[in-house]
Amino acid sequence: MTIALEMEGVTRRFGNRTALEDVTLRVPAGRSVRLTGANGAGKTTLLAVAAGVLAADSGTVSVFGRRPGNSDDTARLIGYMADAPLVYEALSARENLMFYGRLYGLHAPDGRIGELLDLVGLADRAGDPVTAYSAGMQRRLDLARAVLHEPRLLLMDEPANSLDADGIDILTGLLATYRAGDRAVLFTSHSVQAGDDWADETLVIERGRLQTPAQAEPRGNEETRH
Amino acid sequence: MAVLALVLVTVFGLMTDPQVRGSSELASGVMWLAFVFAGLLAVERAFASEKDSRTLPGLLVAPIPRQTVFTAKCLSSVTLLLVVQAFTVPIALALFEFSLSGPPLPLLAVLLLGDAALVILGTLTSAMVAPTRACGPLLAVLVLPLLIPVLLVTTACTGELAAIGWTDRAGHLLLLLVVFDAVFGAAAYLLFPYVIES
Amino acid sequence: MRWALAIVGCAVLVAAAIYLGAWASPPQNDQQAVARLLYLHVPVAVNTLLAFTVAAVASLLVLWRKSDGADRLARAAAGVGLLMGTLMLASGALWARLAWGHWWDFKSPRLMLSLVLWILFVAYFVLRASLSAGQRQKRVAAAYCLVAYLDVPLVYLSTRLLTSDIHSPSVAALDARPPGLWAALPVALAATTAVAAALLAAGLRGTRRNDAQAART
Repeated sequence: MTIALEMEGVTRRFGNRTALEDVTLRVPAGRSVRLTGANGAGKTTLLAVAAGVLAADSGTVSVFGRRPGNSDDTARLIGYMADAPLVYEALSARENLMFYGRLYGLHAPDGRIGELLDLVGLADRAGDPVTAYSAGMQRRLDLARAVLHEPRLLLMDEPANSLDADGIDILTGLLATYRAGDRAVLFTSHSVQAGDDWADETLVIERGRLQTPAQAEPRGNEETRH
Repeated sequence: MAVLALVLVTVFGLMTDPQVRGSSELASGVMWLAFVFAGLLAVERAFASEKDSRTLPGLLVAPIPRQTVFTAKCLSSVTLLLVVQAFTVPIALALFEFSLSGPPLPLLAVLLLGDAALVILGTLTSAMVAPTRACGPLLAVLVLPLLIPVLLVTTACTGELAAIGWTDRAGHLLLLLVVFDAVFGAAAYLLFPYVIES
Repeated sequence: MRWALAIVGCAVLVAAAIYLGAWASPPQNDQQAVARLLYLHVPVAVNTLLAFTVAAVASLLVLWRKSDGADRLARAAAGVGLLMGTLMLASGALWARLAWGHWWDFKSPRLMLSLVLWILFVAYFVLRASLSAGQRQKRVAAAYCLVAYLDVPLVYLSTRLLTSDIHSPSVAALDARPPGLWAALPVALAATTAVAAALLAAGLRGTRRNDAQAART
């Protein structure tokens, strides 16, 4: 069984605040894992460390057996969506995708870009600058960007944010293709509803520590308390 | 940016005593001061789109080495600066009642080498302070002391080339600039990855 | 106990230096009297550079080994450097005033170098202050310290090449050499270095305490 993502003893601090403490997890290929927790529990940090955007203070991270961050091969395997869309507001959707296509070394990306723009429903607005987009549209563009280079591991931070019903459908369709074969997904969600049917397994993080399944409790009430 | 450089040169020109004009040192000093201000603006803006759109993680997660980001930012800033200089140099020379003697090629070399040092150190420092609020003034405080040797040499060299033309001394100064660029370039290239990550 | 010994040791050295410099061999003329300032200026200058070197090596370790201890050392060394640098500037300016009549001269490589060194130390602390505490702050500060250190020889080179300096003669070539120089100067050097080392150790303890306190809040 191939392990898509493995994190072992990962710790990360910001000043005096410990965002992640001794995090150990494994996402096998062919699975989709949901990470839930209250705001500030460490979900975003965990995802950023997994993607190689943030360095861990201690511990190891490996994606399909290789270390992420500043490395060609591993980076191609990862598709990352942060909490804010990683798209340049001054450029149009098509220009953004062309830029990322070049960044990832895609040859003749036009076909793929057209395909994705159709998939996320942005084909008719593809020439407009992103500043003119609604939050939902920007999110959809971000989705297209994340899968542009056909990564094998999708790391998504609150992917359902800002998406309308159509957007959710698109996301569901996309995720379905990733829950099979040699691909995997790790996504975060602070709401219990979104993502229930997308995940094979749910992990809970609280104050930087992953809770064991025995400790995990229904998270529905967290929102009203925090 | 070009406007700023022009304004600076004009203001200095107006403020100086007409009898002192025609001095190559003055003209070259003023010009380089203007270039430094313009250069600082340029490198500050180098990471602006990443700051505004919060797309830095996009660059960090992509399959390109961090150093490539550094080189790319430097190249774009240098280009910007060269465009500004193409404008400002003739105007400064005119304002300071000054004509170029000697071939233009060495002058171009000084400009390029000086710009390179300015942009290299500026880009590295800009990446250091990008997440902070008082980015602009802080950048100046950190970079200008580092640039002092560069500015001394470029001003002297420009002045000499403009007034006398090619001399041995100018040649030595150009060589020194090459050394500066090599040292700062190598250091910044190696240090950039440590500075750009969160 | 060790602190008491250190303080006594420093006090002895400093006393010896002052004795040798100020009393043991009386100067024969005004020039020599003024030149005695170099018993302060030279050791302080040497220690400024020494402190900078320590800070630079520590910064290298911060980046290479991700060591928190190295970061504390860099901070403490930079602090000592700033102090020594201030003394260097002050004594240099005083000497210039007494010997040549003006407080400052932009054309002097030595004076310019001292000023740039001082500014770089200040810039280092300004940078640290503007970044929020954490790993990135340490890395960025270390990177800046290294670039600044590389800058120093370049500043020296460029100012030497471009300006002539009436302030530059080396100690050995000094015309107005105060008598007893070869006895007093080494002692002064030893005394200043001992004080600098003691300050560094104290600084290290201080930073360790600060860090521990910050971690607890």
